[in-house]
Amino acid sequence: MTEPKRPDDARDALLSAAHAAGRESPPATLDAAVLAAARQAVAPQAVAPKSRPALRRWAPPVALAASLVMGLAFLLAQQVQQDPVAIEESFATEAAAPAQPEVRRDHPAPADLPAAPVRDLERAREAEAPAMAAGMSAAAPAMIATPPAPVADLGSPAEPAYAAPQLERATAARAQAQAARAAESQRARSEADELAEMAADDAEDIAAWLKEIQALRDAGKQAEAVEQLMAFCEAYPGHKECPEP
Amino acid sequence: MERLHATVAALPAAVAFAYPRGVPYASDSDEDLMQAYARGDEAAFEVLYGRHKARLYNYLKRELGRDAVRADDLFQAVWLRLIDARARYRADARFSAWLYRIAHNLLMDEFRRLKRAPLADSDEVLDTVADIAPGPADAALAAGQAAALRVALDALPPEQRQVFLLREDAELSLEEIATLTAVGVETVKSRWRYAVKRLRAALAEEKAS
Repeated sequence: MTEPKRPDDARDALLSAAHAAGRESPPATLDAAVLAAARQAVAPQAVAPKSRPALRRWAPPVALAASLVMGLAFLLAQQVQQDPVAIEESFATEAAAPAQPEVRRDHPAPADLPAAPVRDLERAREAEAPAMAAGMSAAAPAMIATPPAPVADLGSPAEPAYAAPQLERATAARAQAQAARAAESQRARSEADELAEMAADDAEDIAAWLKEIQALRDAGKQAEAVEQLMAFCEAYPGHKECPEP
Repeated sequence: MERLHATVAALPAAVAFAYPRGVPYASDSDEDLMQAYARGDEAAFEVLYGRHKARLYNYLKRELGRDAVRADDLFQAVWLRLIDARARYRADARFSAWLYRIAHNLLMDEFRRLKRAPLADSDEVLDTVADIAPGPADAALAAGQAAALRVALDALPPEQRQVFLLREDAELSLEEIATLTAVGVETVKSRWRYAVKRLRAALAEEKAS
């Protein structure tokens, strides 16, 4: 810049030269820093990314969450798929259940006797009628020892579900079958107990009735004894005390 | 050495080859360069910086009592503030006056922060006298006049030194110095005269010795 010359602010040439000679320059690092800042200030700024719409903004986290959920579901499904082995084993055990009565026949236990329909009991009575004629004492144990009808004979409602391919249906069917089986078992156990009591009562009744007939005979009341015997034979037609029809 | 001379001699030819129309911005004024930089021309800033960096650095360092670290920090701060304010620059103001206004304001902030007057006290002056040693440029001058001037300058009252430095380094007029320092023009003239008188006496004494 050209400096206007004024008489009152005239610069001394000697002083100016001495002062200029003593000037120090800034370090090169300062030069570099300042020039870099100047360049950076006027450098074209990178265009700031516009705010993305909400759908695009939320797409990555939603996709991540969905992937996690699917992965967890897949892992859970794989873990549950190991259960069908256990289910099949239990199914196999249940399928083998009809063979168990054979074993139970060898070791009869009145409390464990499964359900026996009334018609089976009557059939057993008919079959044992000759035995009753042979001896009253053996009748009751024979009735108790009548093999019960297997559960499979009654028809399990859960059996068709064994082959259900879907896991959930199999699990639900299994639970339902177990519940039904437990209820059936309970019912059969109570019926067996009832039948056993009934058989014991019948045996006592038969014995008491025959004892009463014998007492009438001993008392010389033959007519009454015959009348009682006929009534007895109507009640127990196959009994050994009764005459052959 | 001969290679150095040959290289220096070949410089004008190299410059002429690289810039057939002359070195860019060489004839531009400071104000034009600053406006060009404000428009995004970083090369204009480099030229402008090259013109003023030594004077500004010298001014700050003298005002800060030769504290090189503070002078460096303040020097950088001045240029950064200028860079930030480039869009507000108006060509009707002289660039050097604008630059040294920024420097002066930052200097006053620094003095307030240091809680001291912009005066190197007598002890500091004595210390700086002991530290001064003639540099390569000083050797080119007669009998270490530059070093003598430094000592005499440090010994000046701060107001007189400030006027002298703004006059010599910033090349401001006395009116501009008066505006910058917020004192009357006559006061600035008085300080300038006293400063020049003392410095001349110091140089004369150095010359005599």
